[in-house]
Amino acid sequence: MSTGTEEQARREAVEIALWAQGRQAPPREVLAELGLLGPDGRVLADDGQEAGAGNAYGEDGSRLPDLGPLAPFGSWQSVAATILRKTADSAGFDQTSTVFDVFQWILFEIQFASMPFLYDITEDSRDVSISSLSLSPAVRAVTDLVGGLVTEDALTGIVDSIKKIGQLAVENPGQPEKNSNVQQGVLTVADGNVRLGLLRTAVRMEYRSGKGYQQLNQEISVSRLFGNLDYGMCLRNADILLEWDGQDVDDWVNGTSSSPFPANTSPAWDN
Amino acid sequence: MNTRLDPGEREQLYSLIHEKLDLGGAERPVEIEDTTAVRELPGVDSLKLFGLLGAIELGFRVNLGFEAIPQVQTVRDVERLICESRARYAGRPS
Repeated sequence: MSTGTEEQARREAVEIALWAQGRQAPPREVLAELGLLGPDGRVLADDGQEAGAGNAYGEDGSRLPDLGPLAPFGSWQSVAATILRKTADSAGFDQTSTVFDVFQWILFEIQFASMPFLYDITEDSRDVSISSLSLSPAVRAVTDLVGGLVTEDALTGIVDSIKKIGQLAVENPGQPEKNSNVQQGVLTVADGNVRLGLLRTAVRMEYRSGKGYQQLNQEISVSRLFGNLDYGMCLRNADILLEWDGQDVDDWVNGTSSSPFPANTSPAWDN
Repeated sequence: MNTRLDPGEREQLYSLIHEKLDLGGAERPVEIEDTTAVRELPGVDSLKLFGLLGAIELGFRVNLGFEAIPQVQTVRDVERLICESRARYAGRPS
């Protein structure tokens, strides 16, 4: 019979393995019930939808625990970035693509929320109204949701990253009216904690001849999913983490669809 | 197409103009009329006008867009733009 410690280690390894293998899209019968199959039996394309992703990192310089067996990663930030890569891979979610896939979109959020390496997970949202000439309510919602969890510099980086996603949405060709699904990843070090976060919303946009895409007047819901990295869980399962495809923070920040874009400079962000 | 707001909404519009263009604090309150030239009101600059139109979009739940900015000369123009937007988006989900 195994000891308590051995049993805990075995169960953690099973939990991680179950999580890391991801999930499958529902069977065709379920898709049909959900109205997601077209007359030809194929999964309906999300023509009027697009995805825009950005990631932001910030830190307060606070001291983090010794890496111990995770030393090959070089930093806790790289450990976290590697886990985030696994989260995306296990959901089949490609953050560099603007093609929206409803399954991957939802799976990624499920995988993020069920990540075995997070604790103290917070999940809530704010509803605000925005329009083409007034985007500051969205910035205030983000500030309200994450302001207490990240440093001021990190918050500035998050808002800048959101403006880059905004520029991507303005430039990305699509239907005359489209729904831009926005995802902002956050990795931050604050008060000795490594925090991982996800902000999401969806914005309806309309193409106006000669003006490009503008946001329609609408109420949006900005959702927040945040948690702290569980150092003990990472250390106890270092051998598993070291086997995964690694990435550092720079790879994570620069590996999204909005990375190549400049921040959108519309005065509406301040209005 | 109806190009006029009802009296209650016109009051709401005038109130927004006073608030966003900082007209309420003057010793001699500025009287707003249809023909009032918005850009010539005291202290009005492009930033304040932009702020006003943003507040109108949210307050009246309309889509004016950046193209509305050069079209605004008088208060009547603002009212017309609100009504035009409503007509254009009538029947669509808000």
